[in-house]
Amino acid sequence: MDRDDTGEFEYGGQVQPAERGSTEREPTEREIEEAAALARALDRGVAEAPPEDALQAAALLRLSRDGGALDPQRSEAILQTVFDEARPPRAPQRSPLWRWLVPASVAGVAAAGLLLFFLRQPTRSLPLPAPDEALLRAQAAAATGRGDQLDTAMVRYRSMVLARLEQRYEP
Amino acid sequence: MSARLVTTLVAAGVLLSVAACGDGGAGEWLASARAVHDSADRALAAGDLDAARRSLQGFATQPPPEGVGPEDARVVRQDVFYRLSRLALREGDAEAAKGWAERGLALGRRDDVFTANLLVARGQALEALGQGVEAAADYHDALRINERLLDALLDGDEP
Repeated sequence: MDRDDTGEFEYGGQVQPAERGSTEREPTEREIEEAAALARALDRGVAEAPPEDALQAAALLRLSRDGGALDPQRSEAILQTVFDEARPPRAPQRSPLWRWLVPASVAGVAAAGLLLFFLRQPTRSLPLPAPDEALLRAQAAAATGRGDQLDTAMVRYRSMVLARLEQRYEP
Repeated sequence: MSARLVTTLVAAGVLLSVAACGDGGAGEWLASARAVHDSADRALAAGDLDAARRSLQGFATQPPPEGVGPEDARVVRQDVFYRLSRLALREGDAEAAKGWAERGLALGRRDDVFTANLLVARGQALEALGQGVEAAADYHDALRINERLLDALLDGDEP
C-alpha cells in the first residue's frame, strides 16, 4: 500500500481517497467483503482469502502498537472457539439400561401373575360333590314329615363340601 | 415410558399376583366354617343348644372375605342358616326359625341340597306357626329340587 502523488492510498489495486468527506463514494460490495475478511483476519489471525496487502498493513500497525501481543482474555475466547469448532460431533446417546429393564420387568411380573391366575382356574371349577342317596331320602322324608334324619345325614355331606371348597382355595 | 404408566403396570402385576396366589382369607374363612360346625356338633351332642347357636350365629353374621366366589359363599352360609333355623325350631322359637331360613334363602335359590334344606326348614317353621298352606308350598318346592337331585344321582350326572 503506497501513497501516490494525489494524496490517495493505493489499496488492493484501487485508489482510496485520503480524506473522507461528503464526496466520498459508497463502498462496493467487494470492498465490504474485503473489509470483513480483513476484520476476521485481524481478529482471529486467519481468514478466507483476506486481502493480503491490507492484512500486511494492518499487521504492521498492530505490531508497532503492542508488538502483536494478544489480550489474554481475547486469547482465551479464541481458544474456546477453536475448541468448540474442533470438537467431534457427539455420538448419539444410547438409551440407559433402566429404560428397557423396568418395562421388561413389569411385563414379566404381569405375565407371571396372569399365568398363575389362569392356571388356577381349573382347580376353582372343581364341582361340589353330589349328595348321596341316603341324604336325598332323608331330605325327602323331612319334607313330607316322615323322618328326622336330615341333620345327621348332612354332617357327612357338609364335611365333603367343605373339603372340596378348601381344595379350591388352597394356596 | 412415563413414570405413571410404569407404576400402573407394576400395580397391575402385583394385584394379579395377589389375586392368583392370595387366597389365604378364603382358606381361613372355610377353616373357620368347619370349626364352627364342629363346635356346634359337640355342643349339640352335649345338649347345649345355646352354645351351638352362639357358635353358628357368630359365623353367619360375618360377611365372607372378598376372595371367596359368591356361589361358594352362598353354599357355606346357607348351610349355617339352615342349622340356625333347625336349632331355633328345637328351642321352640318358630318365628326365629322362619327368620333364619328366610335369611338363607335371600342369598339365592339353586337346585341344590342347601336351598332344599332351607325350604324344608322354613316349611317346618311355618307349619309350627300354623301356616299350613305356605308350609306346603315350601315342602313342595323342596321336594321338586330333591327329585331333580335324585334323578341326577341315578343318571350319574353332576349336580
